[in-house]
Amino acid sequence: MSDFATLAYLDFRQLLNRVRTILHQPGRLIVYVIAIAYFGFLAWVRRINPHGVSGTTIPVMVPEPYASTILFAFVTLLGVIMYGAASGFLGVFSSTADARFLCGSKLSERAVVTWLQIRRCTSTVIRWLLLLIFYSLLYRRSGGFAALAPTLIAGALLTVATAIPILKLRVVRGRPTAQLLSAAVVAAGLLPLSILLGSVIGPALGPWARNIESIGAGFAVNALFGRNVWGVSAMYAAAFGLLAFSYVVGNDLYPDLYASSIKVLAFRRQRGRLPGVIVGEREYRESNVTAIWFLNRARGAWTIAWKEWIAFVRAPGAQRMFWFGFFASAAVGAVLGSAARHSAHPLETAGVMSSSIANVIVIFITIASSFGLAEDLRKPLWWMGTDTVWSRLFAWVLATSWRLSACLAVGIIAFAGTLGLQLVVIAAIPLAIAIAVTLRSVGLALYALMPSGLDQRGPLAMLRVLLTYLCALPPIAATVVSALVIHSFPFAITAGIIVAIFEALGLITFAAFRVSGRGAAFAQAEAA
Amino acid sequence: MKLEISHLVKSFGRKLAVNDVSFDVNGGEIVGLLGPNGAGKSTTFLCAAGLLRPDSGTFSWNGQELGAKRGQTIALISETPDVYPMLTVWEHMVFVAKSCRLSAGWETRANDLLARFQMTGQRNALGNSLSKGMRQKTLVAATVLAATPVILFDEPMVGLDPLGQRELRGIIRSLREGGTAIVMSTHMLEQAQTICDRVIILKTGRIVAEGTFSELQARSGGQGTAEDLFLELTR
Repeated sequence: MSDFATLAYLDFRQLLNRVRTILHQPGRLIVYVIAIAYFGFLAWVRRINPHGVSGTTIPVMVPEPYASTILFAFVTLLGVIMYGAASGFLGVFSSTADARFLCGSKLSERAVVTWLQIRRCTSTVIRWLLLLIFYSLLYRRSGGFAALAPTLIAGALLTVATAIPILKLRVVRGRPTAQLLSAAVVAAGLLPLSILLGSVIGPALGPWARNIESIGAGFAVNALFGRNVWGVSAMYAAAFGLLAFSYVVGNDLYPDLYASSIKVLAFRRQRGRLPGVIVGEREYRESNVTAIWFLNRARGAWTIAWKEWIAFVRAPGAQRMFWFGFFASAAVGAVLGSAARHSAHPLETAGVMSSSIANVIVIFITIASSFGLAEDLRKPLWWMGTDTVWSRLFAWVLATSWRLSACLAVGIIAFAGTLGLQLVVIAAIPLAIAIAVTLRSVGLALYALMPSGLDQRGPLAMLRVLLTYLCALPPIAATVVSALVIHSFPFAITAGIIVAIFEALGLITFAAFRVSGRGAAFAQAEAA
Repeated sequence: MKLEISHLVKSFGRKLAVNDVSFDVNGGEIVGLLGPNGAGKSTTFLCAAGLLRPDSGTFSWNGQELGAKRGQTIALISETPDVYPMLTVWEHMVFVAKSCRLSAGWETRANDLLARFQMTGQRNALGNSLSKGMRQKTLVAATVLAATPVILFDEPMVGLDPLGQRELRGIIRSLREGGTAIVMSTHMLEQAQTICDRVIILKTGRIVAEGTFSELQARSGGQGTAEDLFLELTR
């Protein structure tokens, strides 16, 4: 038990010092105060709104095939996370110092491994709780999210807790065996998931989907979402069982934990330079590949776009993630479009779905994106040339937004195409570019305000959401007013896009003003 | 008291990073591990400190084979000396004392160590505010406090100003006098010549030469500088 007490001391002191550091820096404290005030304001709005309070008892009932889809999507996700651990991609040590001190200590390795698992689980639970609180405060029918909390947290714990047992399997039986098992879990989820989603688009898969639904996965999901005590308890028991199992198998794992943590730490360092969810492990491969023709002609600040493209082409992990996001976006768009088309009121349903998806994009992409320019700012190469900081940042924003733009565009095209909304299909590409560039610019502007990586992952994530919503208001207003006054959809959507682009340019101007002449200071502050 | 590394082999995919490397280091001795970039120095260190799983090979201290927990006996201070950014220097000492189950009185020894390394003024400084030299000193102090008998320094002089280098040389020498077995990798040949009792030269994962500088020079005809000798052996 004293081993766990020592490990608790380590994390407690770090947390305490972190809080003290924030309290001693008024600039950073203000951001936290704004974030807390923002939460408080939302809570107050919910409180004075009777729908919000009564919503806490709204039962959740998901119809088929979506209920079964949720379970198989979870199985797929579980398999993907297991595959990551089987491939040696697992961030258990928080830093190289963590690895150095813990591996060299006389603490029981089993205790350390279990503690590292508990630390990851705690972090996951806290993130989920914050997300659920955020949703609960944000939406009118928020009770459903609050009711889902025990189940969602149990599911998250279960996925996190599989990591060490899979890593041990990799050590004992070899990487192929661990990967094969994980791939089997992915297949067990992905195959029924594809059939169920496919049945929404094409009726030919209907009989297959009915067979899958008869397994009872949807019933289980609804029972869990309805807070069935036995079901939820079983998930927690499984998660804690895996944690206990981690203690049993947690010996002779330090080299593998170190190697996998180093990979993840390198990945996290790179992530700040890539847009949100469209990221990947940067395992650069040697290649003679050259850029596409127009990037080869890039000069001045646009060389940054050429550089980013070359880096992307040489990073197989980033490419895999991009194509995964691209096809997933197309599939989600097609499935939701088809579901809306078959509903009683297609256009109304499509409107509700669009706003929900927009919210998901705003919340998840802005929260998941952590921004970092240090890798560029600290390199003299980035500062060579006579171009202004503004033009460099503008080129950087465009160069790092195209992947998100492409994924959004294909999703919008699939959604609108299935619904037969040709004008939206035509507007999809400029619309997606405007959304992605604005999201990136919001992140850049807040980075220019608070570059510290610690803040980026903390309250700034919430402020990014807030600022993104605020920035969404003028383009939406421009679109609505134009539509009402001129009665022309193309003109209205063009007006909205133009306003969004101007906003983005304004945010880049602000960032350039802040970064100009202080590149090294920003790079240093980001690392702090 | 002797560290023995026998027949160490480590490959990454098809690349053989360390190929049948064997050497030993006595307590109270400083051995320099030299070699061009990619020679396998850091890989050897990571394997020895238990942070990398070797394909084969054994490590023993004082005749006793060290298993997976060899990190308790062999401490690695890497080129980028990593400390916890949100722990103070003193809290690093407390954590080491707790995690290594040090007996009562460790506080006095820790304070003496900080004074010896001229770090008393930084006692309450957070890790993220320390310079590279200070972080190195923190790690050395923590390692000495834990009474780790073997210390591996990976490129310790890189990034240090002349005063920092002089201080670190003094610390390394005082550790030798205290009986610690030290292995130090470096590209600074003059430093190695000054501080190391003998050197081991690696090239593409294999040992190509071993001995004192004067022995190596004698073998090559006694001509030229340390740099000439190094370039001749690693060409």
